[in-house]
Amino acid sequence: MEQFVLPLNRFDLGLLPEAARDTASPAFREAVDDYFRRRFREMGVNGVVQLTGDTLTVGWVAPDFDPVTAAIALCQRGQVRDGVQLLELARSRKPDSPDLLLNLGIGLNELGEGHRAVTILEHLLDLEPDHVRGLVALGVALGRQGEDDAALDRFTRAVVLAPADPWTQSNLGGMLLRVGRPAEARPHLEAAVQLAPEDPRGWLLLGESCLESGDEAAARTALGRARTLDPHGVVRDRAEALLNRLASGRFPRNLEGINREALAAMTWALGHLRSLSPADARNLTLKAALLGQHGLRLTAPAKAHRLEGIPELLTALQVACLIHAGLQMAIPGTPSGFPLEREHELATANRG
Amino acid sequence: MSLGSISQQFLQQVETVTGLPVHVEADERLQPPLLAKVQIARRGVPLHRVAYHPSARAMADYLIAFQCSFVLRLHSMPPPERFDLADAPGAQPDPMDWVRAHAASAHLPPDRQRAFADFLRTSLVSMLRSMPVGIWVDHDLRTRFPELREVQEQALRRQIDTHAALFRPEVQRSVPDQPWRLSLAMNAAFAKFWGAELGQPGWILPYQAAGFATQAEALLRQLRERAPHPSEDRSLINSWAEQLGLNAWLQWIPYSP
Repeated sequence: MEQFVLPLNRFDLGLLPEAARDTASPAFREAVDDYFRRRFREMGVNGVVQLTGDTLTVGWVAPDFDPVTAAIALCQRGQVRDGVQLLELARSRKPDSPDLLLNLGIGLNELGEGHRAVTILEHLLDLEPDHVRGLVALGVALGRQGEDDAALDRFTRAVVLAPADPWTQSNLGGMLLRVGRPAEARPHLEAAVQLAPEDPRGWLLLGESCLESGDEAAARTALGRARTLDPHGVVRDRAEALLNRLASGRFPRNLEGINREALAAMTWALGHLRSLSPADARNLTLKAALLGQHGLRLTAPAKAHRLEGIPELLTALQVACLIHAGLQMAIPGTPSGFPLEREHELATANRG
Repeated sequence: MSLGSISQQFLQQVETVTGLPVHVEADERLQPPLLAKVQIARRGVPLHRVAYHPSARAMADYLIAFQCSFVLRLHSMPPPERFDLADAPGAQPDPMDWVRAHAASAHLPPDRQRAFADFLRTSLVSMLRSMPVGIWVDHDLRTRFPELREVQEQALRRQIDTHAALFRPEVQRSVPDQPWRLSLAMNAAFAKFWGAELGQPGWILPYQAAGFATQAEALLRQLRERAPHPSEDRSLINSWAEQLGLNAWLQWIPYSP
């Protein structure tokens, strides 16, 4: 529905017969009405003119106007409030239309009217218990109200009904992640990205689930993919934040930006690599990189790693320092993926 | 959201033609009706910046192509014929006169009146700079890239809706009459052009009812009388400014990359 509002004093009196130009007269109102009726006929639309006080409201629709299609178009244009208003009006004529109820529920939820959204979507599911989109929309609405268990139940039912729908899989995975079950979330999120490999949100959630389950290498890959697919948006920002957390979270630094343990490990790594021939140093770097490809938890000193050619057990930090320092010796400036630039700089300067 | 091939093509083209990268970002500080804007690299800034409002993310592909077109139009001219539109403070009409005579603004302290007057002037200059040439740009995109049409129509419709808000009584009360009329004249031209192009005769209806049909037609005549070539951009903008009595506001200075 198209509509505009015009204060009566802005109406162009030149469009009316001279006898009807006194805005206080009944003839004026009649002439304004007549003007728009003629215009509606020319446009081939059904229109309505309302004169209320000092304001003129003019609205029209095409003869084949479908409120649900129009409301969806409004919502897609970001005019969710207008779309919802239109659906509410149409509901009196189509109280049980699944499309109408679904879109009204989604719209109300977006407007923050969660309780009403739940009521509408529950009505939809009373009519069609296996309505997959309805189940997911209800799950989203319940989730926003903090009713995580109920949301989980609806998402699970949706996945059972439509396992090949990436939307059902990513919503179930996202909710499992939210309730602290990242390992259970992961297969659903893996399914979601397989079904919709171009959806950055799916990759972001997968990255989060991997991160929460401790698989940092997989998290890095998934978050990197999310960042690539959404180079300018909010998903990118979140992926960046998580990647940074991966790189330096729980990795304390002093005021000069140095982690003392990392500096010690870097000093050891540089010394060790420099004691080797260039070819042996390259080999050791390669072995360390192979060991590190499955992820290294820099902040888990208890975990020991064995590297061929080095008798003692190594911490993850030492392995990372070997990779970083070895790469800098081979091709200076190459990013290693570890946040060890400052420590490498200082250790190199200290050793001369 | 990944960028589509058309916007990537435009970004690549701008980088090739100007030798400078384009930084693209979602920026929620953009004020409606602005869906996107471009800051062309100038005075030593080593990059162009295209920003779009996050709410228009679904239209980003089109918006980037649209904004990049302005960079390409400027750089398609030989360097001595590239110009920037600069501020001409003090030129007549003085928006301070509008503000002082406006019932809702007359009681404001002088610094806020000045800020409001500056806002009115920069808004109108910005419309003059972008709307007439923007119609050419949009028309060119519509002809060359049919795959952008759907989202382009969404963006145009959104602008039509936003422009129509100027009719709302509360908005009218908050804006002095002269800038309100000047904005509406330009919006009417926009609505008339795109309403005809997209088969939406109702878009011009509010402007006709408010008496802006003749001015809209006069502005559109300026478009039709020129070839939509970048060499005509300055002349087109000047002609709109002249029609609206704002030509003293336009000050063209050589573009400095």
